Amino acid sequence: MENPSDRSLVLRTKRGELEAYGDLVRRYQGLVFNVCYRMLGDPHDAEDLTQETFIRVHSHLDSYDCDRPFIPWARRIAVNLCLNYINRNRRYVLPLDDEFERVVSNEQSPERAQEDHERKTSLRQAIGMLPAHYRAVIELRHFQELSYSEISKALKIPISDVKSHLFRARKSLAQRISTDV
Amino acid sequence: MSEDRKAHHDEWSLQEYLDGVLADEDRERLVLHIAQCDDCAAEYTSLKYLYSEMERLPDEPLAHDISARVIHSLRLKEDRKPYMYRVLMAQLAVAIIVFAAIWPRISLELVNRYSLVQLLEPLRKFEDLSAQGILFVREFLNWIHIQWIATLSMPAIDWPITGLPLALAVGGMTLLWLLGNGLLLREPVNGHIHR
Repeated sequence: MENPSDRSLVLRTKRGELEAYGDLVRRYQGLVFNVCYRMLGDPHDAEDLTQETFIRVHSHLDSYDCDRPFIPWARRIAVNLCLNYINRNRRYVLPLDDEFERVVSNEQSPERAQEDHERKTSLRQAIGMLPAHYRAVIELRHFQELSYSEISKALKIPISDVKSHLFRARKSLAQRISTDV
Repeated sequence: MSEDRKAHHDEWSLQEYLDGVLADEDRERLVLHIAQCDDCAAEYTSLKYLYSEMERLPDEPLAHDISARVIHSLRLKEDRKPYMYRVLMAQLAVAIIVFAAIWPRISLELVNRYSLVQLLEPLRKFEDLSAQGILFVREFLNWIHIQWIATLSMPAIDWPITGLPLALAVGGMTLLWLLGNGLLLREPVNGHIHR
């Protein structure tokens, strides 16, 4: 039997069929988890936020336009939830931007950093060290492939801020992974 | 400043070029410049490498299927919603009764003490209504007293505060109680995590 479309699952969920929503969650939990994981860098927190994202998505289904794709909308909700979570939790508070860049540029590369696995880990760690708003723009631009104006709308910040956050975040990431490799 | 020199200093252009949003004219100029400038070529290579690394970053598998937990939380939320709504409404009703009871006294005292006649003028109507309300509540309490409590006795309590401070304290605590419970109840109504 053919898999039901996202649209039909959403419509059934709106009619009160929680089983249909369970199918949607199973279908996209991995994608949403990876958004949260890239944003938070901690798999346990990422799992909790994935769950919270789906609860939030369910409570906002009334405002969701079924003619638009479901998962980009859900992933944007995940980014915003992660941003709020980072801002609420002290352990995610990072150095100020200038200090952050100094820390990044002074780090030495480990010997085994050329291995592929370590390069990925290194990139994940570098993303995890970015200030929250930088992580959000990197996530939306590189992993969700949103345009500058779409990011601006999703995060409710001016396009000029989107550009400057992206610029500084990439510069830091490029420095970090070039020193690690 | 020459065009090449200007491009050399404009690090934004490299990223805009890689994002595919640089205007045609600027793009051509930048490509020419990168071909001639070692610093910009190195910067470009470094950024290009970052872009490709991010593109190739694999997704991590989710350790558990969370759908059952999500559905459980949603069911719990649905089950609690009507109950929580009724609790909030009951609290609101009690708070209104308490304020209706203390309002005539507070308003009179405040008017006398701070000459707030003009400020409170729009609330006169409410005061009349609340006076009627309190009369009803008093009659109701009196009826309860006659029916059930008249036979009981209680030792006299010497309250340390009376009058306006007492009324303000009761009103303030009721308001805090209502707001506090509202905040506590907001969590289960809006949904929360169950591991």
